[in-house]
Amino acid sequence: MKFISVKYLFVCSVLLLGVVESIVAQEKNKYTISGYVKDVSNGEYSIGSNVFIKELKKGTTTNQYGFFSITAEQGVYTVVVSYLGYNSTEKKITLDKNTTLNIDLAPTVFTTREVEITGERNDKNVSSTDVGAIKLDMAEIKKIPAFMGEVDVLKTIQLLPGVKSAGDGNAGFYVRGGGPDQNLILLDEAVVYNASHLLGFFSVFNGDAVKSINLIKGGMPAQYGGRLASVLDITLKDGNSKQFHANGGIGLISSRLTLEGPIKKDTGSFIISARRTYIDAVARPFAKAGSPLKNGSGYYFYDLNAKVNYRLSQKDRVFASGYIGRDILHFNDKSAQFKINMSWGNSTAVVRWNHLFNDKLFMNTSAIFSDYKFLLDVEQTGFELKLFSGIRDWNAKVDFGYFPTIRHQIKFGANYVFHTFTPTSVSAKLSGTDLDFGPVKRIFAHESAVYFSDDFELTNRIKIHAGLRYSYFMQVGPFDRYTTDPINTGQVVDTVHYTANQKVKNYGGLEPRLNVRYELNSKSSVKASYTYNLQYVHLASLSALSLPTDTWVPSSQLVQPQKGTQYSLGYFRNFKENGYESSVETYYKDMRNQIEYKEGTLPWDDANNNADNQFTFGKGWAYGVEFFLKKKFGKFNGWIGYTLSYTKRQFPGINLGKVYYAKYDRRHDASIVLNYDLNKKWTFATVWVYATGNAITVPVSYYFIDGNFVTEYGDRNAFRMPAYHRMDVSATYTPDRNKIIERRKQRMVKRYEKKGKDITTVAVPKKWAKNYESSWSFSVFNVYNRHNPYIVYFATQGSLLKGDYKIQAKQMYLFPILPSITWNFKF
Amino acid sequence: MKKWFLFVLIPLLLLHSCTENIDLTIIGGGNKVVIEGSIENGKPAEVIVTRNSPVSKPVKLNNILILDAQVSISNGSSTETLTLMIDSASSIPLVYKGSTIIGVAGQSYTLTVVADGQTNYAVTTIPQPIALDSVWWKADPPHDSLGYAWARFTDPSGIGNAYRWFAKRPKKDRRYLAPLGATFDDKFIDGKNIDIFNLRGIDPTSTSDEDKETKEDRFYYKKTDTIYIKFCTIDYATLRFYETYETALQSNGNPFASPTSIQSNIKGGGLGIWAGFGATFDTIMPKP
Repeated sequence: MKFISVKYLFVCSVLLLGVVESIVAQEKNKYTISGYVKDVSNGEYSIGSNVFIKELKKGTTTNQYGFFSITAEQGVYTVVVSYLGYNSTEKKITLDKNTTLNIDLAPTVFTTREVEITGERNDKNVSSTDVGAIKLDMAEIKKIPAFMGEVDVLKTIQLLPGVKSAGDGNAGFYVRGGGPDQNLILLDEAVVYNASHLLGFFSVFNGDAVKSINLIKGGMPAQYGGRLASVLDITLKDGNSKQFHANGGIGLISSRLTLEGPIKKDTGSFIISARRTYIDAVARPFAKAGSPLKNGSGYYFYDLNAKVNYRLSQKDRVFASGYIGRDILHFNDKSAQFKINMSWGNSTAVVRWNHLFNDKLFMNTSAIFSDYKFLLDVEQTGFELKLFSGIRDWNAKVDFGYFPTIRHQIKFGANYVFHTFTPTSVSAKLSGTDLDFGPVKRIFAHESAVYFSDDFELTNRIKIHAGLRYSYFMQVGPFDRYTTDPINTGQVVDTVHYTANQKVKNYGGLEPRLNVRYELNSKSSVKASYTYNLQYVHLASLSALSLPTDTWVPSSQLVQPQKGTQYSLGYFRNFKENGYESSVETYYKDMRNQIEYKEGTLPWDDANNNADNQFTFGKGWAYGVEFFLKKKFGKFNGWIGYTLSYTKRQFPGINLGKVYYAKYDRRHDASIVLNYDLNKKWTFATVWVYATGNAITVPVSYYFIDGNFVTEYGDRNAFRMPAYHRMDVSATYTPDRNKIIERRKQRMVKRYEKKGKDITTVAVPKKWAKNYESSWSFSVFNVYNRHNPYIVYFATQGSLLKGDYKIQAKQMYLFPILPSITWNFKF
Repeated sequence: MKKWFLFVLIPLLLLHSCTENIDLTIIGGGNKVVIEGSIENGKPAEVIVTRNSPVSKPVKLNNILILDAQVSISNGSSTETLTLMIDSASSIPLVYKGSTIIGVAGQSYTLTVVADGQTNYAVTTIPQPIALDSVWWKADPPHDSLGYAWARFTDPSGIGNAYRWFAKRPKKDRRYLAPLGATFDDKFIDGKNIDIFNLRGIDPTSTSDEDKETKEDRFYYKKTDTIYIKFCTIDYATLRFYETYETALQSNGNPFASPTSIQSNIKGGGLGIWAGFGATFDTIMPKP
């Protein structure tokens, strides 16, 4: 405890130092340049653009809303604004008063052009205090071969070092030894509690609606909290504020359509984006009569994103965005009189207001709604079961950005969430009699936080990000606490009732964060970070797979908040005028109050009981080293990542208290992503991934009970599935637009001729001719047809009497080699 | 437009997932004593003692039998050493049996087994028996001559009662068999008067054609079957053992099941169960 207090003290004094320095600095003769950076082609605000003052060799980046502010002494300056995939812009300004500078960046028409202004390329990799943070653009993601043609954000981040996939058919991802519930996934600031469709084959993020992705796996800034491992911050597009556009794609299993356009030119815009799969509809005509598929069985999912924004004045902007997505599964087997209806999905809604108090103080206020629910309905002869679980949040937050001098970027704010948890609630009927599963149990809790952080340059070489967050959590009634008798009946022997709003249990704590960058020279730097995080919500999973049935539970009288401490140290170096980025990062992470179900827990033990009565608690720790090399520009670009890591856990109540590897412990994890832009028509890409197999628990012996053989399981996670590796390739063909237009014109001429019309009047619609674009994406998933294990399980075979009774390990793999084709269009 | 066929072909490919055998070298396992013992009201104790077998080798019956165990039970006031006997109505026909200590409802019994140099012991209780109100056979539509064994009973109010159902067809089954789902407690049915049904239990060592895995209707009782029912109350440790045992059986060969470790009440490093059964008996008579 003393050790931690010293850290608080240190972080506080660093913060104080920064604030005092910024106040002193303000007294000199200084002025502010502020404004927004936008994409000239569609009016989208640019997140994370580099704004650099040549003469001072200093700069900043635009915030999530495209805003920047730099305060400097009076003088004549060259402001350079740059962003990957855009032509850099230079502006000469005479700074003798506060100046507004709105910059429109033009996309680089053909990205293979090597001639970008050298020297001003983004050196953020080396210069920023970001540790373990990666920003990806949709343009980059769209180049990577996509599974079944569906461009996927989550699949792409799993190609980065330190981020691990759980394997085919699992959308959950693991960051630096953290569990899937330890990632804070935000979609336009709203928490997404389950980011996967179809048992993880696809993520819920429709690539057409996404603007940018920011992943933080270490050195989490103080404005984020509530999770131990990472933040995945996804921002949706605002919509084209210049002109109306439609784009979409038709793929083998799904189609997408996005419409966007101005509400009022350069003032407000909207975007609406939808996606639906149709495997069921495509396969149904081929199903046998009387088969489940013919009887209405099937599966599909859909996503709908919508967003509007409007600039009320130069200082005020409002945004409203929403998302709804559902997975729907019907299974109807008339012959077995067996019926299942299952649906799950997220809904989010966000209203935001940006306000500029002055050119140094930016504010964003948000009201956010977030909901995840899972519904299951099963009917079989004489038996009916309904199951429901979910989590719902009402969230209000306010965030300020204050830019007092060029050396400081101060952020502060507050956040409040009201959670409603519905751990699995069941109702069932057995041959007409209602079974007693008790009333629907909901759990209510308040979670709030305040934070302050400063990103500042202490000296030319040392830059610091210091932050402090205080978080508070309180579970309130109505609530029933059940005490069970674990020895004689396992049943509830005592109930304590809490009335509405009565405090059940509260927790709180300070979370210091500190990142330090030491610049060795203009090309390389060393960065270190320390973060301490508290997590009050937890995902409990009985299965070895991540399933939509996994339920979220709050901290309670029994469940202490998870506590995570991470130390990381990295060396960052850029080569060839920032054309190559590289880094080596090491980390050590300590996780306390980790949760698992007790050994021997059965799925129905939660019913008529508090879910947390089935939990057992322990600790975890993880360490590793990550290597990353990225070539950003040129015809040939891409990256290589490799991670060596260890993730261990120890629970007094599991594995006889012995240390064991977490199921997602990966000794080796490597990925290679390569893109080659051959010419204007053809681009090629390939991905190769390798990962050590998941740790699993296997049977080590069998024994005879009641005439059957049953298995005895060995040490927890003591064995490994076979390694996972796979290669994908893709090619994108973008036909010459002029040729297409010419062909269309020819078709129209023929039609006119048939009808006997005057062919000299043939004209392709102007707007269409100007904007129409299309492309074909061909991809092959799993080129060398590797059978990667989805699940390893065991089956017994042979007979005791013959003396050949034995156990056989089997694996189920999901995807053999899979080619796909998608047609994308835009007009 | 010629590419349309791809739109159909690929999803069909996707729906097709595959399983295959893999080699996984598993070391360890074995060297544990396995106990399957019970004591029923009005009957002496019966205990089968075997040892477990590492998964790396095929199982041979000779290797798992323990014929030289010292097995004794105590009811608190007296102790009896059990004798190895041959019993064709047992899952393994070599059973350690008692004769002087007879099970009494409400009594607790301690079992001690010394075998393979290990001493294991366990304690169980015979709960008060609860009789079924009525029993009958009912067809499972659309069948009219195949169905399940049904029973109505009243669970005493107050949570904590647990049950295990056994049944036997005279001349067809050599012993009482518990089907999957035979073990349950009153967590969801406390104090209710409820109808339950059970499938026919299959003897894993049966050589009868009716019991073959290929027979889709093997879990049914026929209209013409006579069915003897043994309905037992059990204590919590016995409930947990049989619940986890049934879950483990169902997960054998099921890729989506999570590994279930069977919760034993044997202390001393052994595996298995020492169960007390508070039994009552009923008969379903055949229908013409």
